Amino acid sequence: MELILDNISCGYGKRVILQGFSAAIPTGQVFCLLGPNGIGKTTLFKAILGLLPLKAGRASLDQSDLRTLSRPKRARLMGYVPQSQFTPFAFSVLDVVLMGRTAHLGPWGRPGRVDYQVAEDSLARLGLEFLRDRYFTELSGGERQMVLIARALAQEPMFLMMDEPTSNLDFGNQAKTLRIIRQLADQGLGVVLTTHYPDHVFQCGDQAALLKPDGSQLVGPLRRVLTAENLSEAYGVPVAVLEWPDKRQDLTICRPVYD
Amino acid sequence: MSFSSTLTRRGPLRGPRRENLALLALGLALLLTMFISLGLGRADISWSETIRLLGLKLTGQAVDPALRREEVVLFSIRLPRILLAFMVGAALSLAGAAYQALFRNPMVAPDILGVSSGAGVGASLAIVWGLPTIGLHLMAFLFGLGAVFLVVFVARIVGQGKSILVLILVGVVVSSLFGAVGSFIKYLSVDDQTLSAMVLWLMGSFAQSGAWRNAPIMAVALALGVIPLYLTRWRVNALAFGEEEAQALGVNVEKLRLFVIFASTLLTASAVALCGLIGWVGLIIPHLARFLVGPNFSRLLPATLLGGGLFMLVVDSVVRVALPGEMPVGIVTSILGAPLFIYILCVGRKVWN
Repeated sequence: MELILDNISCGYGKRVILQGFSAAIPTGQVFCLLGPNGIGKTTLFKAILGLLPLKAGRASLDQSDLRTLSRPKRARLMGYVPQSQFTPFAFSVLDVVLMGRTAHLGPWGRPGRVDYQVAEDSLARLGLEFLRDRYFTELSGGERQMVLIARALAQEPMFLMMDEPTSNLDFGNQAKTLRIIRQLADQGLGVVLTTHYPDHVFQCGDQAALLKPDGSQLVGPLRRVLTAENLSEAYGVPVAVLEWPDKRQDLTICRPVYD
Repeated sequence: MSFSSTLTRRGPLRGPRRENLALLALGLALLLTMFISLGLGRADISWSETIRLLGLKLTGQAVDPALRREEVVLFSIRLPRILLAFMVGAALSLAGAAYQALFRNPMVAPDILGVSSGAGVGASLAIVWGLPTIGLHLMAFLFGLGAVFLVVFVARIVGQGKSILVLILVGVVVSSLFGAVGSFIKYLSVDDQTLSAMVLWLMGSFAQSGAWRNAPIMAVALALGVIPLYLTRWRVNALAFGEEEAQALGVNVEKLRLFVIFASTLLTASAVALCGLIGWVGLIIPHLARFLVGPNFSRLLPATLLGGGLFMLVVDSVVRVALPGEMPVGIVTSILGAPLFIYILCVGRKVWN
């Protein structure tokens, strides 16, 4: 299955923020959206999710235009892992994950045996069984992030849409999250994520899109897009990309260079 | 800035078993309270007579003519009032719980969208025009509904029906407007009797339950409000993380929101129209209910119905028996409500962000 974004423009109200964005994102890959603050990453993200109407262009999944799909249908194709994790109510972790089943229920429906099984499996897939009966509001930021990934998995989607999945996490939890993202993609899910850290893209990504301040966009295999030159241009600071050959894996590191 | 009241449940039992037990306990407490309340009152009826009469009624047997007076007191005066108090408490609490889930805000009361002030204007007009009681109920109900429709309509124009914040702000504006109109009507009424009738109505009471007239009306309204909320009892949970997440989970948020607003408004407007303004119940009972069974609306719904009904019944019984005259029940709920709410604030965890 392939998510195809064909010449998309999006924005709020009359204001167009991002123009003419195209990409093809197959399942089994991690597609990373990068760019400076305010460039339109989140806007594009919301437009793909159908939370904002497209100003122009077409987003389709295997020939079917996303606009023609009902909300539940869309939710069965795309799971959303949001950045904020706030709720004023102390739901149990299992209940939160069960909410991911909503798109599979009728309008008056309630989760049944199968839904509970899927929710438990989603928790198990991320090794979170031990959180099952805890209250979501009592969890740490890293645990909440994982539970929301489990909720998205319970939607049984083809694609996961993750908005800055590593931005509120400590170093260890960032690494764990990136590893899980890679694993999920290897298991066949398509992942679209936004991030501020090129390093994180090197750790888990396949393709990258770099939105530049001049309105141009670079889309393609990440090593071709995330070069020192492109990153320096996009972020307005000199950047070095270092390759560190290691016996077990290819390590690529990105950091700013000061004069 | 937002406040999070996550009264977390502690103790040896967690999860569904504890929640089922809590619901069972509430149900039993309610039945017991109904029975005790039936036996309490100014008319001197002994407990043995009460039990005997209740037994005869429940088994459908004829009542001894010597107990005719007692029968009238128990089943034509006390019983309808007990049922009405239960249903009004249940309706206000459930509406409060639904609005709190909808607005993702545990500080929301059922009159957030202007029902009460609208109903107040309707009732005041009815009193000025000297309409019969049933006309007063109808006017209060229609004006209550009207105020909410106005809020939803204006919010659609202002915020394109998208922002929940716009809805709340328009609710505040319309409430205030109707409050002013209500005051204006009171100011114009020169006659003391009219004025005191209005003020007294606004305080809320079950004293005018009109034997069996109001209880069936409330029963119909309660059913009409509970059914849609019961049907959406799972879906409503998905709103807890906000509009966008709910949409991404496959919920048609705008439709669901109107559905919930309609049901909750129906519940609140009928309760207010029949019994006047009874504050705090719809704000506090959902908190206590979440404390018992958690925020999952599937369980919160029965818990608020039972808990709200129980609370109101207890308060009204106290008003009936222990307090001089016919003290408006709204005064008592407010006096009890304020410290109870402070207690909830202390127990609940506070998060300011």
